[in-house]
Amino acid sequence: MKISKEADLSVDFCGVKFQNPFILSSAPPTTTGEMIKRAFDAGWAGAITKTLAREETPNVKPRFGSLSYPGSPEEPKKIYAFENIELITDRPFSVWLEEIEDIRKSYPDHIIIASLMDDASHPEGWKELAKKVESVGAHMIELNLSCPHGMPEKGMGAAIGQNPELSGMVTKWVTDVVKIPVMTKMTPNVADISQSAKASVENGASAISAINTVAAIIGVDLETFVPKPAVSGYSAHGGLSGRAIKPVALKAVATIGQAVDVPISAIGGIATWEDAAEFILLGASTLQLATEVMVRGYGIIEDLKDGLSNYMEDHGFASIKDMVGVAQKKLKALSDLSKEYKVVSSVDESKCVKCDICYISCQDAGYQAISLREDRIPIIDEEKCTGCSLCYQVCPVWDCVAMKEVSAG
Amino acid sequence: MTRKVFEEAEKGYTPQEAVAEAYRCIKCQDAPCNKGCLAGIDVAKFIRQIANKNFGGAIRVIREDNILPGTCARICPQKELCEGKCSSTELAQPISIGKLQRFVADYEREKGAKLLAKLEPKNHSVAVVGGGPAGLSAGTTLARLGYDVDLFDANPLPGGLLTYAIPPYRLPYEVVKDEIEYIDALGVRIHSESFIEDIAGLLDKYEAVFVGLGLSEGDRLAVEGEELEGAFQGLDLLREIKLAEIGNRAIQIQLASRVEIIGGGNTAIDAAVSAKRLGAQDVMVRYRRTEREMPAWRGEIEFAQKEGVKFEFLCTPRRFLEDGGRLRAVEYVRMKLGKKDRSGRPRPLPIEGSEFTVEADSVIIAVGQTIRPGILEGADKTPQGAIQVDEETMATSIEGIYAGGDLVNGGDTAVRAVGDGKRAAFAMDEYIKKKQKSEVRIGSGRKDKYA
Repeated sequence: MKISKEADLSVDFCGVKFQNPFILSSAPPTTTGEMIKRAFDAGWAGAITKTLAREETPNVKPRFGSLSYPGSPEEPKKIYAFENIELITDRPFSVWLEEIEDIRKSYPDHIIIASLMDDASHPEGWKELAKKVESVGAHMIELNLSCPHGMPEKGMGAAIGQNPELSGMVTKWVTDVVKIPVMTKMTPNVADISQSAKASVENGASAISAINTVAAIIGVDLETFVPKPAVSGYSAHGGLSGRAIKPVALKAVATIGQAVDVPISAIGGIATWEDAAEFILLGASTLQLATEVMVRGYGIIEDLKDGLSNYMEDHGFASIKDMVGVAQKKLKALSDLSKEYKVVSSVDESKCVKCDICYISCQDAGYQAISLREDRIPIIDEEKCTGCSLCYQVCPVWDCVAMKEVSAG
Repeated sequence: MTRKVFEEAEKGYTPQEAVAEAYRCIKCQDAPCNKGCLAGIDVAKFIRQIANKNFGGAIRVIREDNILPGTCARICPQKELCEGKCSSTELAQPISIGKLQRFVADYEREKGAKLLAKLEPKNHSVAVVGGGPAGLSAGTTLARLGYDVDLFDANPLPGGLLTYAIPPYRLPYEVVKDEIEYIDALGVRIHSESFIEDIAGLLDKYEAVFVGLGLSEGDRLAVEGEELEGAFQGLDLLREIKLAEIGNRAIQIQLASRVEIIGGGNTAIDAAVSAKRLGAQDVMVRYRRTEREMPAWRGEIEFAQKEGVKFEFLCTPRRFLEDGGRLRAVEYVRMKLGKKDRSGRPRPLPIEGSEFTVEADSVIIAVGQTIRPGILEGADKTPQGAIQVDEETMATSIEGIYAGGDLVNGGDTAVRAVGDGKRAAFAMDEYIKKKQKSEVRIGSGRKDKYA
């Protein structure tokens, strides 16, 4: 037995020192300066303000929708996807400037980042916003080039981010007039997310954050025929967040990491320390959260830090820096993956509940490699099995089907 | 047959089962479960950690407040404590907090433990008398606060009733042994087979003393024939079972196929279930009040019923009948409930003329436990005969001596003893710091004008 040492969670992110990699993203949990202070008290290392603009933007009501696992008395409902049609800040820029200044003074060890937005025809607007937030002490600026709803129709948000040329241009306007690091926030609603990221970096961006929400409609009310969320009988598409978009975000972070040489702040479906660890391994060095905080509150930071630090300790990572991008090196083009590596499925008879699910899947979507014994235990024909793992995916029992290696390739 | 007594009755969770159960927690903001834990564990936090598969973090959170995590997970009456307050009770059933705690405690035993943090050494010594849950908790907390701790225990092995009374099917000795090893590794110096005659005398050598001696003596019935061969104290039967478990040998007490158990507390229940698991055909628990007044925990009574133990209420032994010096039968008298007594329960009164006799070759007496005579004679006592302490600090009426556990509460849970020990340790720390300050003098202390 040894006396345990807490892993060091601090991280240098484009020259800015964070106590830990966890940041509140620009979203409802950072609606006011007072809220940001409470989050800092809870243990968050940094926060990005709701997006600031020259004018405040009023919101519609209601503006959220969600998808949950069905829920039952035994298994209460759990949200896995969240949609919003909320817009940028509805509070005056001048008030925000006072709050940023106040936070800088009262929380010297925490990082406050200003999220900014204007349209691509207003260089002076961008410059003025940037210079003002720098003058009141913001540590960094994040350019919102990615909001997928409401703002693009006014030539803002994703309307800029979807165009690498505009992304580069806007980034340059801002990086030309401030000394603090500028990060640009990318939209996943594009064919290749690395294009605008590259354009930003070429024009002075010190970091990239990704992803903003995925453009989405969460559902349709089957009685009223109105898409959700309904605002006085009509709806508009919004942005999807939460656990459901994590795989999209993981891919985006990996792709951006391969394309540019600046630090990445990951956003998209991070809810637990395991999610955080995956993003770091794929190349992120800070992590932004919002949806899980909207569901569970600022207190989740405790679990995030503790879980991540235990993981790092267990796996011999002395710092976040050592962990960043370790899994990115294990990504190849699909055509470069081994064709000789072979696995076949095997079933643990003692765990099988004889539900036939693997059998049906293999019959109707596989290679008909599973037959049923008289007692309904599935039997794998290893000659026919192509190792696709569909049976393993669909089996409802933990550790019942396994894919065993037959050739190391 | 004895295997049934040595085998743990309940199986632990697999990792998947634990995560699924923790995931069921709705994560209430005000965490009523926390308020139900007498050791002050942050229950809500460790459930969240298990749901997030942070098992190592979970066991550390538990151990921070309860140094006997695997033990209390197994023997706490959770339904009456943390689980009794769980909000999920309204939805379906409470989260199985005890089983979750047991899962991470077992996980740690398998994977290896990390030691809790300790403060810098203070170079002051404290003594702990009694190595049961209260003493172990006080000793550990004091060691973590930076004190040199000498813990004295009269038995060959520490652990008190955990080691010598809780039957293996509820609490295997291995679990207690590992927890004591951890306590040892934290720096508590445990002196076994060290009976302390003069507790107050320890103050000559130590800054403060904690006493957690529990209730080690079984009460006697004081009826005719109690010493006959075939009549045992419940604690003696349980001790023999534990000694056999620890020594990996056969149990030497032979029970008849019909066993009468007298008493209504947890020791009576443990003795009854043990007798059943040792192979007795008919095991009858007889208690002088009714089921409602039984001090044993609901869950334990239900478990005993499931094991086939039978109960009869409102009767008490009048005398034990012999046949050539050996027990042959018990004569009981029926009781009725009278007015409430000092304990707040109705007083049982015999119904004259209602005597009846039951043939019995084995009788186990478990009618209560008391403090070993002569302990802390100078200290104030409660009207019930327990050691009187300040509720906040656990200080006795003797300056520098603190006490906790069954000794002060007349017999309660291990987790309450753990909480007592911890609270006392913090109060002792305050006391010692204050004392040190008043002993430090600046200058010579001379009051004349040339000083």
